[in-house]
Amino acid sequence: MIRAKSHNYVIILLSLLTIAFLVLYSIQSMTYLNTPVEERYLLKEMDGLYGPSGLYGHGVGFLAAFFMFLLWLYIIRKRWNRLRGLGRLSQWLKYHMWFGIVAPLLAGYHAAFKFEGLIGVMYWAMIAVMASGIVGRYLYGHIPRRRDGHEMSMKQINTEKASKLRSLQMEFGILPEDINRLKGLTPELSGVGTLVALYHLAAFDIRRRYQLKKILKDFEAKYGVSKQNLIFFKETVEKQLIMSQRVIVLDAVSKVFHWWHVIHKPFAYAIFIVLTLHIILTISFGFTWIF
Amino acid sequence: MKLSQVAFGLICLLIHPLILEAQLSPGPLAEPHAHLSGFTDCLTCHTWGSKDLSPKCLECHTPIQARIANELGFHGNLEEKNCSTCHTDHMDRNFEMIHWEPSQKDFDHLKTGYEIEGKHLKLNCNECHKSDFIVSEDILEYAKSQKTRDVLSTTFMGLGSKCASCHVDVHAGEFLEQTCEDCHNENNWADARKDYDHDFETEFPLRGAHKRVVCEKCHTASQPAVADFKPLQFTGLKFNLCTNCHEDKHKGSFGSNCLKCHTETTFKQKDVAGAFNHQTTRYPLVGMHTTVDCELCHTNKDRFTLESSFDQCSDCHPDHHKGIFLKPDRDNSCDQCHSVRGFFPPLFGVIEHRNTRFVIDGAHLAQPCIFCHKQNEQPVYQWEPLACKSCHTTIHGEQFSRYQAGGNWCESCHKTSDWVNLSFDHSATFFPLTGKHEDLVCTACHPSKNDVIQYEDIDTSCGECHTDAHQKQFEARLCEDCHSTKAWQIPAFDHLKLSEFPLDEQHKAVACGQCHKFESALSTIRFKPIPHKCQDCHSFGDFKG
Repeated sequence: MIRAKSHNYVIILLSLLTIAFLVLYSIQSMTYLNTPVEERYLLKEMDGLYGPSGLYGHGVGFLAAFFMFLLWLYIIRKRWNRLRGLGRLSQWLKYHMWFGIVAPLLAGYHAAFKFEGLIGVMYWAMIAVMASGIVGRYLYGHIPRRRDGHEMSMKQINTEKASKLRSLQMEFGILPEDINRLKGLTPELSGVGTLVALYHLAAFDIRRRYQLKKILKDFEAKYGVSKQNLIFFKETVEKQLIMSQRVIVLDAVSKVFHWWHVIHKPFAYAIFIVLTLHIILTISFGFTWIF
Repeated sequence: MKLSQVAFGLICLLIHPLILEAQLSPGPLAEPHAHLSGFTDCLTCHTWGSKDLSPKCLECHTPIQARIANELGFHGNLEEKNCSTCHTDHMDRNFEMIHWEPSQKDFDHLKTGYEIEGKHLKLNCNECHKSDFIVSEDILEYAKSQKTRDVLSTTFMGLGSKCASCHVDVHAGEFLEQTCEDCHNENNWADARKDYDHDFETEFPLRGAHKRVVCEKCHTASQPAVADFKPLQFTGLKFNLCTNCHEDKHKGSFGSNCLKCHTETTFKQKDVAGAFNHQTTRYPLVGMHTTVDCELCHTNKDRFTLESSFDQCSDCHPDHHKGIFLKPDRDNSCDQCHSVRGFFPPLFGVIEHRNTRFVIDGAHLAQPCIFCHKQNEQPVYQWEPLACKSCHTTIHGEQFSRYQAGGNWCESCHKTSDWVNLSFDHSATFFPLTGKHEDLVCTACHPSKNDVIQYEDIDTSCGECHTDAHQKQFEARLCEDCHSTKAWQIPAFDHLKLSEFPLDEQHKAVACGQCHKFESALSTIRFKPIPHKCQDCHSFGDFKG
């Protein structure tokens, strides 16, 4: 079994390779890409390399399509029970995200950034899928999950939150007034709208590091936590705070996350259909790249 | 609304035919191909399994297909066979499918097989490439078959390479057997006249003066006008007779063959061989007569046969000598002195002059006739009396006038050979030249008075010319008593005869200067009076022995 960190390294390596490739490609095709679309065919040599049907342009298109299809492996892994044992879903998601970001970029180079009019609709749909994926991934991270990646129920969350507080009181002797101080970092948000809740979600994430730093410093000084327990103490305080903050926006996040599917999934299906047709059509018309 | 319903709706929207078509098509087709737009029309241009669109392009663009097959025109000579290399599409509805290299204005028209030259270079494309000028049948038929667009107003093909396909035939079909280029060029329509070789191209080669005549003189604007242009008539002109163009000045009196007398070089036939042969007439032309204008003799333009006589020169020529040579007792014909080769020089020369009263010799031989025979701008051939002064002016003033009564008195001194070389003999005068006088120039003794050298009434006494060196010591004597013309020095003065003091004894040995000394008061040597007593010269001491 490959460790989670190893997957990160693989993704970082792939990202560096992709960035290097795209930088080199951009430099080489700078003149072509800066030429107005309707005049590009006059740059016959460059059009034969960087045009949508050019040697490199078409190759990039092939790669983009390949990545597009690889995206769907995550869906298959997620939906097909027989593949449950094949790695953790969160790791699959990382690759899904990486392909989801890189494929539209490559598709952009394949199309030589010709996105005007209706023809651009599908590309912007692709960008929308990518953007919604990034947002979705952000929201996804704010929905408490079990280790196997499945969402925790509210009961499970409250139990976890109570468990952390108890642990702080029992194991580290945190006094009730300090427990209340910790609780006070999470304001009451009952009755607020979804957008306000999402704003607070982002605000929590931005302020949390500063809040934690301050409160941990005070607690350490006050309760003299031993070095061997310090990491566990910090994790407990942090998890308690995160859990508290996420609980109050969970409804809003869940609601948006479910609506996010409305963007991400239909667009993805449509792209899949169009991409498939596009590939079939171009190959049918003889645009077979190097084959 | 359920999420699944929303998702389904979005999918349907995204794969809506319009959007789907836009995704599957690289872009909107250009206007000429707009009628081919549509999800189901791809195969109108595209072929399954091949990205080469050319076969389908040419299936529709049949005129281009025909030109490629026959290697005609611009497309027929291209190395590039793939239509889409130059004519790409799917760019935009307003995309110009024809790209001009380097620009439409600077397009190398030679690539079409028709090189543009001369004034055509200044034209805009659309001045030639317009529907009215299209003559190719296949283009016209193709245009008819295209229901969706006006081919004739957009195509650059179908023009004829002949001038008449664009230009109006102002000659109204006169030159159907020829091409316009045979006469005209693309630089200047009017230049045709310069380039046209009338000698080879027509049955009437231009000769002589006909070469200099402007075309319009013969080719008159008798054709019907075309717009503002009145075309000249170039064919069908009658030219077998000169009178087809020229007026018969002789009213037919010499027949219809003008070339018997005239040539094409000039109507006034002057020096043209093969023209009218005057030698066959009663008066063959010789000498200067061959060069004069006919009208000079033939004063009646309507009739060349002279009714008057032409036996004598004076029948035509006035008498330059005003009748002075007309003598009843001799041959008065002009050819005694002149010939038809010219009035000058006359045949009457130096030799003939010997028969006159005035034989030419000496310096007169070198003088042109008119030096003597033209005075005061008037010809002069007779002098009465005939004397030197008839031509020459005397430089001697009134001198020698007493001799003039005898006639040619100049010869007394002068000769015709040279003015200065005189025949004068001074010994025949009152003063024959002797001694040193023979060596003198005339003017030494003959002074000039009022710019006239004096020869008469010259005083011949010595004192007239010579100064008295003795300061009047010998007033009572003549110079010749002591001196001669041979030398001033007296070789043997006879002291015995000519003086009062005869030299004797020792006195003979005494030098003259011992007694005749220079005297300052006299400014010369004292010759007389000289005291001649002994004591005047000697003292008592002198006599010692």
